Amino acid sequence: MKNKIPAPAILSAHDLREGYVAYWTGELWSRDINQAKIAHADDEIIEMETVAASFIAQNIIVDFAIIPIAHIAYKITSKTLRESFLISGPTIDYGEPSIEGALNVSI
Amino acid sequence: MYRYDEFDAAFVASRNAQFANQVARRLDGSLSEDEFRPIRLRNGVYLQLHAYMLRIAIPYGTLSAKQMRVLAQIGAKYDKGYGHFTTRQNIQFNWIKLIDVPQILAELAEVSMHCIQTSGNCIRNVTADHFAGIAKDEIADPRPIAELIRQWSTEHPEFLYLPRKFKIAVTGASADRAVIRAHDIGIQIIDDVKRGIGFRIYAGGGLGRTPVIGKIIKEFVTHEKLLGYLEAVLRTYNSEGRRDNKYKARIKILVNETGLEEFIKQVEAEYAISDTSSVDVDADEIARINAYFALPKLLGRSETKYDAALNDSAFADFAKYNTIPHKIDGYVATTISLKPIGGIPGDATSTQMLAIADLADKYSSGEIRITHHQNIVFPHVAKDDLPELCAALGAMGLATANVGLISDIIACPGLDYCALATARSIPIAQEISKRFESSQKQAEIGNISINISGCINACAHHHIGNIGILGLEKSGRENYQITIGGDATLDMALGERLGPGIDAEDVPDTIERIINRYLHLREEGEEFIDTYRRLGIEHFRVAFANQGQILSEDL
Repeated sequence: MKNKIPAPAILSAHDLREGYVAYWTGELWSRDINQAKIAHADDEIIEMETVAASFIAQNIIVDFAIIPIAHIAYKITSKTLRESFLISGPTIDYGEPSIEGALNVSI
Repeated sequence: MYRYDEFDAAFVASRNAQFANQVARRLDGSLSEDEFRPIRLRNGVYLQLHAYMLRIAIPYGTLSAKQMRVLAQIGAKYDKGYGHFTTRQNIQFNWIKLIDVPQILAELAEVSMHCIQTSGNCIRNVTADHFAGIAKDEIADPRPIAELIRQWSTEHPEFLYLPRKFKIAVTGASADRAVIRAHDIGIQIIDDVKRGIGFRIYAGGGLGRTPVIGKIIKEFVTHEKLLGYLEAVLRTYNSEGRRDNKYKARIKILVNETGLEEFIKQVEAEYAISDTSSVDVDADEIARINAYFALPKLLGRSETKYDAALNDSAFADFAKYNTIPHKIDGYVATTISLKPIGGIPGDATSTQMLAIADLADKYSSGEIRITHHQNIVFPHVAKDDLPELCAALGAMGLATANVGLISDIIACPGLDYCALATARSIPIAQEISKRFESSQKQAEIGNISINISGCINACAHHHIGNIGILGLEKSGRENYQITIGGDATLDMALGERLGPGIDAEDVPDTIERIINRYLHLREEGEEFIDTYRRLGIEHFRVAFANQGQILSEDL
C-alpha cells in the first residue's frame, strides 16, 4: 500500500460520543496535541491508519485524518492550512463564556 | 405567532424518539458512520472541524421569548455559552456532544422547535422578511405563506431526496429584505390591479460556486394554487435535475442548462397534469393561518420620553440606525445588532439571549425575529419605551448603533469552525470592524454591506455584498478575493472582482482604500452602490492596485 501523506505525521480523529478532536498517542487518544505520536516513516503512517480503522470499528472514533506536521522546538504544527486550524482550535478569543442565569431557565 | 398544532407536536415527538434510538444504535455500533451520517444530517447534526454542530430551525426567523430562553439554556448547558445566528435565520451551536443531542431535541420540542430539514437534500427552513407584519411598505404579511409552505414541505414524502438542497424565501414588501432572488424559489407577494393579492415566482437563484440570480418563471399565482404550482416546480426539478455531479445539481443549473423558456414550459406541463386538489388552499384555511399572525394589541402611547431622549447623541444614533417605523403610529421595529465593534458577527452569549428574551417580554409583546443579516429584531417597541430598552441593551453590550453601516458585517463561521471552509472569515470581519470603529466615520460612509465567506459555498452571500470578500487557500496560506458592486435587493447584482487575491493582513487596508476612493468619488446623496453603478469598477481598481501604498487620489 502506497502512503500519500508524507512523514512526519500524526493521527487525529473525532471522539464519536462527544465529537471533540483527539490525537493518537501510541496507546490511547488524547485531546493534547503534544501527546500525539509522530510517525516518522511511511510504514508507521500505514500502521496509524490500521489503528484508526480498528478504533472506528470499535465505535470509539469517527472521521480520522493523518496530518503532516512540522515538529519545531518541541511544538507540533500542521503543514496544511486546514489542519493547522484543526490543531489550534478557533482563533477567536471569546473570553469567559457568559451563561449567568441561563442554566436554570424557567419557561 | 404561529403555534404548532397537534400534527406538528406528534410528528416532532415521534421523530425525536426515532432519532434518539438511532443515536443509541450509532453509539453501540449497530449503525456505522456511513449509515448514520445521512440520518444525523437530516436531524441537523453536522460533524464540523472541531466538534458536532447542531443547526436549529427558526421558521421564517420568528421566535418567542420563551423559545429564546430555551436557546440560551442550550448554549449554557450543552455548548460553551454562546450560539451563532445564521444567514438563513437559523441558530447553530458549535460544541454539541452527540450523546446530548436527544435531550437537546426533547428540550426544543417543549417549545415547538426542532432541527428537522436544516440539512440534507430536502426543502430547508423557509425564510422571510424579518420586518414581516410590521413594515409600512408591506403589501401583505409573508409569514402566513411561509408557514403554509413549512407545513406542506415538512416531511413531504416526494421531496425528501431531491437532487440537492432546496431553499425558499418569501417577501411581502416592495423592498426585498429576504434576498429572494438568491434562492432556489423566491416568492414575492404582489397586488395586481385586476387579480388582487397573489404571488410572483422566481426560480433558479443561488450563490455558491456558481452564482445565479433567480428569474421570474410565473407572473401571478393565486393563494389557492400556490402549493400546486410549487409542487410542479419541485417535480420538474426532482425529475430533471442532475444527480451525477453534486456541484451541478441545484435547480439554477437545471434552469440554465434547460433554458428559461423551456423550463417554464416543463413546469406548466407538469402543473397541467397534476391533481392539485390535495394541496389547494381554501379561504378558510388562509384565514385560519392568518389569525396566528395578527398584530398584538398595541396601545396608543405618548412619545414624550422618546423625543426628550433624542437630545442624547448616542440614543439618537440608536434610534436613527436601529429602528424603522411600525405600521402602528408610536411604535418602531428595533434591530439589536449582533455586530459590536471587534465582535463575532451573529454570535450571542447565553446571558445575552436570556436578556433578549426578558426584554422582548417587557418591550416587544414577547416577539423576536432573526434577520438574515445575523441580527435580532424586536418587532413591536413603543417609541416611548425605546430609551429604556436602549439603556438595558447597552448594559448587555447589545446597543451598537450600526445597522446597515460598514461594521454591520455578514460573516460565515469560516475556517475557525467549518469543515468545508478554506479560510477564516470572523477575524477578517473583526479587523475591518475595528478599522471603522468611529461612529462619525461610519455615518459619513453611510449604507453599505460587507459580506465575508470563508469558501466558495458563499454562506455569507459575498457575491451580493456591496463589498464581497471570499477567503480561499492559496499555496497553504489564506487568500482573499475582493468584489464590489454586489446588491442583495430585487435589483440583485453579483459583485465584480477587483483583482487577484490578497493576504489576510492586507484586507483591512484594501477595504479602507476602496472606501476612501468612494468618499472621494461620490456625489451628493450617493451611497456606495450608487457611485459604483455610476462609474463602474475601473474607478475603484486604483484603490486595489499598489498594495500597501496610500495614493493621494484615494484621500
